[in-house]
Amino acid sequence: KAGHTNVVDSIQAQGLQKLRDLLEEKTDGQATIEIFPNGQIGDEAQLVEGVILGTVDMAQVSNSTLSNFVQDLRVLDMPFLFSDIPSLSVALDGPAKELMQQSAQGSGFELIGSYSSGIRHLMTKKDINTIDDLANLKIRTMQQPMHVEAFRAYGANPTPMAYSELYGALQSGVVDGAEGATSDYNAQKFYEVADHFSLVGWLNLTSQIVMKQSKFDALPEDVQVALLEAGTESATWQRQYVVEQEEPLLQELADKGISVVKPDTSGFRAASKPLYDGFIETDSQRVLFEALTN
Amino acid sequence: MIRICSRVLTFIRTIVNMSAVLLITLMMALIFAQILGRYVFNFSIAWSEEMATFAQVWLVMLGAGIAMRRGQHVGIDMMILYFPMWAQRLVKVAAFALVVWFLGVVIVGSTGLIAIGYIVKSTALQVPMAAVYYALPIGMSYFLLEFAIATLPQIFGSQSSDTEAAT
Amino acid sequence: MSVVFGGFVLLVFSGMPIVFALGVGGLLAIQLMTDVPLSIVAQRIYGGVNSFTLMAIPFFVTAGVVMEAGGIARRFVDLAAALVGWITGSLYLVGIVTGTGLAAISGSGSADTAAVGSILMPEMKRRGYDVDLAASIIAASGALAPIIPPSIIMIIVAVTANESIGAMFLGGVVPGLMIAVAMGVTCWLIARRGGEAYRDHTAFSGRALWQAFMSALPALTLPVIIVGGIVGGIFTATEAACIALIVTLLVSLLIYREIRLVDLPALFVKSVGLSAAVLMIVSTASVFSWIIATLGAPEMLDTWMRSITSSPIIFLLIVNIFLLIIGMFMESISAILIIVPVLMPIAVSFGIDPVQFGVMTTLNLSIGLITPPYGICLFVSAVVAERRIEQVSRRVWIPLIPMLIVLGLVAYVPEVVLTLPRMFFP
Ligand code: NA
Ligand code: NA
Repeated sequence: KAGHTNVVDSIQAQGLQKLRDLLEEKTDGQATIEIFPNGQIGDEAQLVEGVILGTVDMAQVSNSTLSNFVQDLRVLDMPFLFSDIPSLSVALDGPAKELMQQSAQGSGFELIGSYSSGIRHLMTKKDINTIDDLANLKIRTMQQPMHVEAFRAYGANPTPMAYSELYGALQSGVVDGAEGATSDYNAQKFYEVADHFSLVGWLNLTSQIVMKQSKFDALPEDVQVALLEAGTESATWQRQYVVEQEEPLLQELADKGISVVKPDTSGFRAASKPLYDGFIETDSQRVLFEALTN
Repeated sequence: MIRICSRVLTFIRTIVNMSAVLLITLMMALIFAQILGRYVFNFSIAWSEEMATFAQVWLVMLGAGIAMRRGQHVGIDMMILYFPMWAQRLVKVAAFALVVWFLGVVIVGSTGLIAIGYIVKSTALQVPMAAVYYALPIGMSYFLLEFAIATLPQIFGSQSSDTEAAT
Repeated sequence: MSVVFGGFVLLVFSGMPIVFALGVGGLLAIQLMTDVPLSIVAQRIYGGVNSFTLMAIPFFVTAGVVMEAGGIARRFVDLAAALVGWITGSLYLVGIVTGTGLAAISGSGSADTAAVGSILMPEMKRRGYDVDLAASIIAASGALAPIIPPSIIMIIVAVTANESIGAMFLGGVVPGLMIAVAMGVTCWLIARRGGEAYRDHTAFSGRALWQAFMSALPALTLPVIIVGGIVGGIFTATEAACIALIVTLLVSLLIYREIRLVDLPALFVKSVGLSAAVLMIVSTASVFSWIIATLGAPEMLDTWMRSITSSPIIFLLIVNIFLLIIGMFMESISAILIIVPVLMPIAVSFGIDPVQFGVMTTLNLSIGLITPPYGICLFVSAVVAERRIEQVSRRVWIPLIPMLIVLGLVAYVPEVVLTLPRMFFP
């Protein structure tokens, strides 16, 4: 029984479905996963709590939710860590993979796979070519202190508000822009009210599939192996899938007359560096950070 | 003995009432501050929504008992009036036992959440989630108390019992 | 599945509050039909109320409690009397116009029904109106509250279905006004042939109207703030509800001065009880809907529905009949929480707009507020009129006819609902 909060055809859900298909294939249908999408059986925090309490077998949640329980993983959510999804993919499959599994196990989780949640850009009412163009703009962010802090560091006026209110807020000018993934920008028709899209790629987010470690250990040996293999393979497939999704989408936006620009991110990178020291609080976070970036 | 009990009860009810008034006022102030912040001072408070939502959790958990005391929980009790007296009493005893079981499960189950809540901090305020999860056992215990006070006289006492409506 | 629902119905009829029937029903099903640890119940109870969007409810409820005590309802009655008091059968029309006006500032029906009924009923009796018909009309006017925004029922529908509250609110405006007009015409037709009692009315006076309008003006700003604020993207629904509460407090304390600061704690305790009664149902219903989702009810119902029909027209007919029956017996909020998550995806797969379906569901359950045997507005109205439910029930079909006609339009002419929301929420 696996729960997630995304809609059925989202990029994250595709990863979980691939995991299920691969698992069935590898175990000749002996083991399978019953998927409950759309937050049907709980929101993200509830899903992780459910994994701990044993009310959910497996959960696919954003890395930021999981890092409330596994502190080390907070490192993955820092801005401008990876310039694109292929480099994220390389980092996740490198030596960091073992470290992340160790951290997860330290909190009683088994990490099955790390998927891409897309890369986040800027939607605004004017072009953002350098960090200076962002000065004093009201930018909607998620209600996360790190996001608010980052945009303050970039010179903007960060305005946290509920996602469901964003369209209206852009339309009425309550905010001048927002950060978000290309797929959301397109699907929610934000381009109607903010027709400039700047590919800053400030966050390169991951979504994690976890089980309770004791529950995982109780599975038959061959299913454990199949599950971990399926996790790795489905994650590799899914990250590539995300990359392939992105290109035609950007073309489609350009065809609609949206101004899509590739800005100079050096200013953003420089402004992000001092933030890292604030986020990295423990030695094990430092170790994971080094493993991801080297 | 009865005098002490009724004093303790009055004390508990006063505390709960005062908390309820404070919580709704706090929620109002937080959301108003958020609006003012956005339109007047051009500055956003990242934690106002989260704190107001936590206040709402406490408000509802404590308010459930208040609603019980004031007879504000709706139910359909006219069907069992067609039953003979002994059957009515039997149904009421069974219903009472089931509700006690349900609230007991919530109270016991919340200990697991609270244990997690000491590890996990809230997104914006960075307070331990246990501060919110404690609303469950405390609120539901008060709910159980008011439920028992409202229901037990109907089961054991005279037939015409009424819940206290005034506060 | 039918065992779970059957068990729930039995629990409701055992006389336990619905908030417990949902929780106990869910818990029994989890215990007997799954091997999931019972701590899921505590998790769901917490998750049910851990919602910023639902916070609009305690604010709107508190605003309603303050309005009732603070003299706003009486000024709406005065304004309505000055507007339509000169027409034959005037008091029915005053009741309907007041109900419509109060619906535009309050979120739930029973308080409106009590306010209008207690002010108008004595005068209706004095003039020799048909008391049972009067009580039915006042109940139906109160039942407009969930259709015309703001609306607690719509907030819960929107939150449950993950739709925009603003779009849902706007969708209710036209159907709500259509019902008000259709009920007014119905009453006028009855009153015209109804004899002497209905001819007693006051002459129209421009000056009286102006005075009543000025007196009600502070309260009339509320619908503008609430709907305008949400539609304009200035406020979220929760913020608009908070502003509505603050304006209501200011108007009642400083302008009308019918309540004082020391009265507030008692009013707040009352409103916290009412809000908790609503939101606790949301919580225990989320236990119930969790087990329903886990057992796969949405897929089962979807398959079943498709085996019956592939036509949206027949689907809507079945759903409407089903919802009207549910509305007769069930409390509206728990009905939404159980039904909407199951029916909404099926409706969408039949090509029905979610906003239209949400408004249609709201309208069905609003009708449920006045249909016997279980209808809150009907109860309140009967109590105020000092009549028995059975007596009032004999007349309730009269306001039901215009409501059902509009329901038909809402179901089969989507433009009735969708024109306004489409103008503002593309
Ligand atoms: Na309303
Ligand atoms: Na009814």
